[in-house]
Amino acid sequence: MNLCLPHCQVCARSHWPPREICPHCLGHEIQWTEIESGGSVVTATLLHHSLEPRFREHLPVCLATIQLDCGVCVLVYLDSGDFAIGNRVIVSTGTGPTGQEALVAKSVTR
Amino acid sequence: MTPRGYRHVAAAVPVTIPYVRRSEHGVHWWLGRALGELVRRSGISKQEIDGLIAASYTLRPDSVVSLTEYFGLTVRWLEDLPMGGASGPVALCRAARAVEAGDAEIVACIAGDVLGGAAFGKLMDNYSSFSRDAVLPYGIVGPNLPFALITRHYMERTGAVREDMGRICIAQRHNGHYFPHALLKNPLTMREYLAARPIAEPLHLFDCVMPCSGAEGFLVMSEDRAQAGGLPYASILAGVERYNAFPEDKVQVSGGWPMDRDRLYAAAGLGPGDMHFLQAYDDYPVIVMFQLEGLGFCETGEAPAFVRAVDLTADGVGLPLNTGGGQLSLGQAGAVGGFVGITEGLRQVFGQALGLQVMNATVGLVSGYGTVNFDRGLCSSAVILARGSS
Repeated sequence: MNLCLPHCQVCARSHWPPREICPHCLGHEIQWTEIESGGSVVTATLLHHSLEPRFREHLPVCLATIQLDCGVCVLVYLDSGDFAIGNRVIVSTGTGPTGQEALVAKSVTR
Repeated sequence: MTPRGYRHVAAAVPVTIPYVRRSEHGVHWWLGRALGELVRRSGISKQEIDGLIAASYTLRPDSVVSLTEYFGLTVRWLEDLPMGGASGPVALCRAARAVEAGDAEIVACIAGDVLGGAAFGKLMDNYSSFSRDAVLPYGIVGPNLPFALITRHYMERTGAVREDMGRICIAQRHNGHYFPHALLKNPLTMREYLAARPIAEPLHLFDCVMPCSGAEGFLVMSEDRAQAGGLPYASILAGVERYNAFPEDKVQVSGGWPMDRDRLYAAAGLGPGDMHFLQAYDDYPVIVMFQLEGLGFCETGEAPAFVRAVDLTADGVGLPLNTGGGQLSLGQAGAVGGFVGITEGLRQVFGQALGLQVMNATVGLVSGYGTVNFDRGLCSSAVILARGSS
């Protein structure tokens, strides 16, 4: 699956989390638009604890903040244990460990 | 614009209702206990209170308006604070300005929350729309997730190591050991800190506050009224608030304090070196480091070196930090954590600490931080308190 983000029709910038008003120019026409899915790891964590009992069997899991090449930062599930800062990834819409829709990132092997 | 302090205004009657991990009572009981103690200890009747300001996450669907009817209060000035951990200094500043302007004569400032056990997860389910849409699906964690990401980034950027975070937790636990109401009182060793189980790396158990239930409160009135009632009081030399500072930062690297500290200190006519203590918001030790840097106790990125070099205990010779143990020792009763620094700071400048008393403390700084709407705390606040002269 490709990556779509909310995109302002007035200033042509994307943002995250989703809004109905653009945080850059206050434009009110937002459309979900496919964007370049490359990005790099800004920060990451290996998660060992969840408030939700049904999630606990999936732990530990790696979560990361990714800066997409368009500049927008998103929180994602990261596929590998190799989550060094600066690593290149491809982000797409996928599913998390319990099957819910979520952004997921795959490491790009160099 | 020239900053302005709060003339002839007094903060008085700090009240802490002892916290519990599991409350048998609802949030109104906690808020009402704080209000009742304010009345009982001040000798000021409920009928004289004409202003009310409160912070609570778990009061919904009720609001602070509901509290007037619940407690039988009739007031002419009222505010509802959604700033969570920043709410204490904000409550004090707002109430002080109202008293200075004559919009109210006696303002009760209270915070209460009921947050042990399942209540914490329920709060997280509905904390904010951004959190619900873009954070909760990622592990169903709560604040440990954003603060793990912030902490990792800070450690990478500054070279901080876990022992640096541990120094803050250990010093505060030392202070908390002497504080009668701390839920976590056992002294903490570096070995225990480092050996704790991982929660969201690099955060481990003792980096995280324990959700609980509790309440805090204080009164704001004119200096004349405090003196007439024979109440110890503090003057508010300066105060600042800031929301959504530095939104362009990919990951949060400070609160809003760097934007406001010059105004804060200019209004007080003092600098960080004049502070006898710092009551800093301590949901996680990295946020304490943000405050040490943002409020000018050290340079940006130098907090790890600062905590290695400076004694942070209340009975030490350095910078007394969170002299009652902070939330890392007391537990975090939701928005009440935003009030802890004010009540403790007031007791310190009165010379009436419940635990360790900082020697000759007459002036100190209290700062607040909170409300992780998406990936960072959006609110920051700070006030400078000084012992009132009667």
